[in-house]
Amino acid sequence: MDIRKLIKSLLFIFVVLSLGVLIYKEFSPKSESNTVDVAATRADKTTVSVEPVPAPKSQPLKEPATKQKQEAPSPHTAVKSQNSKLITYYFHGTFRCTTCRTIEQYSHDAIQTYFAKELGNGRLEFRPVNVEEPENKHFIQDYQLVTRSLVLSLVSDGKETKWKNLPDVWKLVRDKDKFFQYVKDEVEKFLKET
Amino acid sequence: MELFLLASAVWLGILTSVSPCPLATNIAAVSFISRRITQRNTVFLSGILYTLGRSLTYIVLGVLIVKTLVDVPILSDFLQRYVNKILGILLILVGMVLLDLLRIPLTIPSVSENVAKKLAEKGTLGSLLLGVVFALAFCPVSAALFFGGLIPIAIKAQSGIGLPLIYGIGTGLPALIFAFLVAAGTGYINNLYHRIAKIEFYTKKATGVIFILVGIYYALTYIFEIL
Repeated sequence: MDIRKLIKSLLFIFVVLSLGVLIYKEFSPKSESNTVDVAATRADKTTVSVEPVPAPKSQPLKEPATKQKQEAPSPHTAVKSQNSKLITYYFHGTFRCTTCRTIEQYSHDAIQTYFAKELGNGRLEFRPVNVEEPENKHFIQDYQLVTRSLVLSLVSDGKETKWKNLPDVWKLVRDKDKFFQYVKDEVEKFLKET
Repeated sequence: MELFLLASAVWLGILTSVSPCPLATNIAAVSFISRRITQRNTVFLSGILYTLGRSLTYIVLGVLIVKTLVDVPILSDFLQRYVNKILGILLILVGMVLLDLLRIPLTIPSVSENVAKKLAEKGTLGSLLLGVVFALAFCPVSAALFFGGLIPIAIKAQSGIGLPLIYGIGTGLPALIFAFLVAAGTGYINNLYHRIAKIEFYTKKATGVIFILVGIYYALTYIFEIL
């Protein structure tokens, strides 16, 4: 067998294998870990948790949160109460590009640097989400995402009252100081309403 | 104001082309455009067609979005999710054709067969197609610049054709300039040494190898997700 035929066959095998994996990944049912995620995501969308990151831990605390909600006299005062919190989503896909990693890193670091207290008491949360997981697909529509994005979402009494996509993260990613300042300013504006 | 919009569109295009993630396709494009390295006119024509091919894709997307209000997030998600996956397989197959490991039977209707053959022979038709396909391969950076940067401007200006066209030219510009420089440089050497046929033999092979390598890179990144 000459070398050309060998290369040809190897490339064909690779192509067929790629096609196989592609089709398998598209049509195979998702693994169990994802279903847990669904529950966590849905729960967080509908109930208020006082617990900061990571999401799964918030499950046991759901009860006190609900109690608090019942104690709150009216939705108006609730806005200013412990029941409202700010979630900072970083939406990404399965493929992580260099610039995208930088955006995630900067966003995370900026929040850690300026809002350690709010992160600690649960008023603020940073949550990276892979939108290519089927259960997270709704975020694409919810926030009109066209690419990797940083989104601020204000939740009070389990309901999202306000959200904002921060598109300038893409412009400022080459300037760390400006990026930090941008995230700080935007998060501060939202935190005032919690 | 008009001028400002046009300048923004070109600039967004150039930013797209120099960002790191489409680098692999840019390398493949440059090698494809300049593979008939000794025929400067062919390189020139093929560079222009490659750029027009890119513009064509952006115009179709632009018209779809501006005129028919197609859902932008769904479109963007779909393109990023699937095109890159198929691109890897496609590049490997094209690379194999360039290396003569594969033969495609031309089954284009007889009237246009000769024209199509001639164009394909010159590699110019291929450049147009390459532009169309490569422009469809969005990655996060280019999606942010096109869907997040250009499209809002285009919607405001109600320009589904003009601005995407200019943006497409911007995205093709660096590959175009680079291919010209390569062709100009080697053209000069050729005149001195008269080794035209031999050099072309190697540039065609090199293009094939580059296509296969880029294709494997895309498959490993987007299908196997291991890079």
